[in-house]
Amino acid sequence: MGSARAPGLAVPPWAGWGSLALVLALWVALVAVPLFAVLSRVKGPEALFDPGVLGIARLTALQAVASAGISALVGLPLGLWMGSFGGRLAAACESLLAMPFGVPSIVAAMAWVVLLGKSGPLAFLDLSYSLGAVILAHVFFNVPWVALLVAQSRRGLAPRLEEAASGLGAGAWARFRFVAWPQVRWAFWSASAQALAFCVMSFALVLVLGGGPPVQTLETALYGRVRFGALDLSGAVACAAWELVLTLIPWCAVLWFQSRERRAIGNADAGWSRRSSRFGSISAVALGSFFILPYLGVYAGSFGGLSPGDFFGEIRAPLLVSVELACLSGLGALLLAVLTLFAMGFVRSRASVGNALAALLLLPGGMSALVLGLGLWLAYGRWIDPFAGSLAAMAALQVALFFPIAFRALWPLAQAMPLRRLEAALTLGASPWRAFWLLDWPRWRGPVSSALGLVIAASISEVAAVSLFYSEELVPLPLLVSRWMAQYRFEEAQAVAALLLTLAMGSVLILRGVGGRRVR
Amino acid sequence: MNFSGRSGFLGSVLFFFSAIAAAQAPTPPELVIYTYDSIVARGGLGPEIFPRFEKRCGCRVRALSSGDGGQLLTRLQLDAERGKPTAHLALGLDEALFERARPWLAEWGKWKPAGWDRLLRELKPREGFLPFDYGYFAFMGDREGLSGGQFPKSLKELLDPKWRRKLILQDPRTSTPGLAFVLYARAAGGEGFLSKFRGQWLTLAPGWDQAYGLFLRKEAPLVWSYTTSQAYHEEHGDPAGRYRALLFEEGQPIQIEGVALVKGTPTSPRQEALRREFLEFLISPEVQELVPRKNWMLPARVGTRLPASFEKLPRPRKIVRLPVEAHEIERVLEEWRHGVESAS
Repeated sequence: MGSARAPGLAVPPWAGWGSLALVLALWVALVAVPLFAVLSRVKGPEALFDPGVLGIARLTALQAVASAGISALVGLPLGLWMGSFGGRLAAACESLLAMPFGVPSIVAAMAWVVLLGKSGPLAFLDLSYSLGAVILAHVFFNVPWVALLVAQSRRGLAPRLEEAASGLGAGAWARFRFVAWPQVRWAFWSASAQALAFCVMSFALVLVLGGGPPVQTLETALYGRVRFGALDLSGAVACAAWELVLTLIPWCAVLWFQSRERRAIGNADAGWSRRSSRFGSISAVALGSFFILPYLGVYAGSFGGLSPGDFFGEIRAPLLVSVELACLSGLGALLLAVLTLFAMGFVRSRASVGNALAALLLLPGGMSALVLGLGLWLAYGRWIDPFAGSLAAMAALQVALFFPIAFRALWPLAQAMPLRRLEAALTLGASPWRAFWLLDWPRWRGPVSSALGLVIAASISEVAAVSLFYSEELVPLPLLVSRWMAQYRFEEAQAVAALLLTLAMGSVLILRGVGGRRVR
Repeated sequence: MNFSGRSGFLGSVLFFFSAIAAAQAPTPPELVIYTYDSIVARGGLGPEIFPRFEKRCGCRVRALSSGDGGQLLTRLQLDAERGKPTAHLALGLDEALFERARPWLAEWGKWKPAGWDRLLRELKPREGFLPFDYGYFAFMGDREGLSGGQFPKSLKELLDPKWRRKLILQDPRTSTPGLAFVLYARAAGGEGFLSKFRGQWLTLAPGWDQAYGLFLRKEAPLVWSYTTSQAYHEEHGDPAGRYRALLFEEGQPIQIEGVALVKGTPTSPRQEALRREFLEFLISPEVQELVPRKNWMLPARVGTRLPASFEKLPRPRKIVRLPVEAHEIERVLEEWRHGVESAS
């Protein structure tokens, strides 16, 4: 295997072997060993076909298909429409669409309770504490995600193609089918697969908005089996196994179909001169904001009784822990994603190896944080003291969980390298680093910083990994919410939730801004 | 110059010897305690009593919290799984959790903690489990939420359609109060009560905290909680009695929280003595007087002085003892699950 010549990163052998070995070693340490530690304690395969677990798997699948299906149906036209605009407002619109991804699920659940609850403005829908409430919350969470990926992909389409199609007399449907759809379809399918995975693994929204059994998912059932009283590892693993099946099958199908179709090498000049209708752009921004509105309810509490001095004094340490953890996880996930891209670039000449590697590495994206965390506990508990609290263990677990977010954001770029320009620069004597910095980095800067923003936001609001490895000196903000609620400090807990929302959405927004993502 | 040189030299010598002395000073023995979050959180019982005990014993207390009581049990089990028990004591187990944690808990032998005879008789102290506080489960009612109506007087009354979707409960699979309600409803309501009751609740929240949060947001006028919640409201600006603990004709279930010695943790003779000393400290008048306001539970020691808000709490007409055996709990949970699923 030498330097790859197919689309993708051209990697020298030493860097290829090194990154491949490092990525595999990390995968073994963070995923394979913990998974084995859990699986080895399972008593027989019958738990997998327990009628109770099968029933929950069926309900999970129905809920996820309904939520992701509606999200896909709404998100596709929305993304196509939003992707047809260019200019600064379109960039703002993209940022708005990315923001809901950073909303902590516990905050989203609180906000929907405020909206749908007895005295909420949407009480007339009579959806509170039902499957309908869960689906509505999932749709609001996933529509912007599908629309964002479709819009970004749509912007890669050269307007001259559409103009040519129009000129040849193609109607709106024909233009969509033969021009736009081939361009956006992989972005659409992978966004939909991801939305399905989110809904399958949804936890806080189901737990709080579903109203309890019979509305439950594999993740909430798993939680009941590992969290409370009797540790039922067999039942937990059965739930986790079905969860993996439901999340990974659609994603693997997308990967497989995509690998059968050799994508055209990205054309850096595609997508110039988008429409810049001011009214349209403003409408798109308004629509993008619409999906953030429900979460603003969390700011609607009465914080009048709080003393800012005491409050900030108490949250200072948890805030620092959360920020530290988010930075470690964000940078770790990003670094791992870049290493993986190197490794995949190296094995690109063997497509099946590359696909197998991608599937292995994306495995944690379909895994419950509770199972992975429990596995880490069981596997390494003999050498490290999990009770002493470990920022490193929290970060390692979050890196394993959130790496797929960073990887999925960067992979399409790595696949569509503008090799002609790079090769031209190298032929003209530019060093590889200089060629990368001048020609390629401007293309990577936006996605890298927006992936970092997404992982940081996800880390700030993550609960499962932190609840397994925290200590009195290491209490991050999400745990403070539940801790204060258990002490009748509901007002302060809501203030922390509002702070979490601000931090998570702010990091998405700021890092997208830092990335200077231009929308043409 | 000379002086400064001499003082610098002397300082170095002193520092050297004091460093040696510090290195040779015996490290205070450590007592590791597993407990739940709200005990160790700021404003909880732990930050009040651990430093006092450290001062008294010349030891270091390391309290490791683990969410709630249920998670405390999971941690004990995981410790056994990884073959490395760490804690000397488990603080905050209730009776049912104690029964399930027995395989990982040590027996006392002939030893009895000082103050054992001063514990309330109805707490039924047993070997290996030292009660330090207790509370009565009850529905809390919000007068404003009722808009002039009457609170229910019995569990059976809750089956009336007028209470449909008017109460908030906790999921019995993830919450101790939730489990207590199901066991209480089965014991006091009789066979078939659980399936008839399906649909009466507005939601089954995952834990007490979320349920109580919804109640305070006026989602429903009734929530399953503790009678001591009334004392909390009274001490925090509710003298008019908007929030009331409701006593039912069928009686109220009791929750007893205790402390136990953990088995298998490497323990020196000094640590063994210390952990037993901690048990005695926990039921001493000094600690028991702190229990009401710091843990919002009732103290286990007879004659402990109570705050006025606790003195005013309604006394249950009858105390309902809930089953604590794992198989009985599993049987009732299965009945509940069947009731919930058949109604869906």
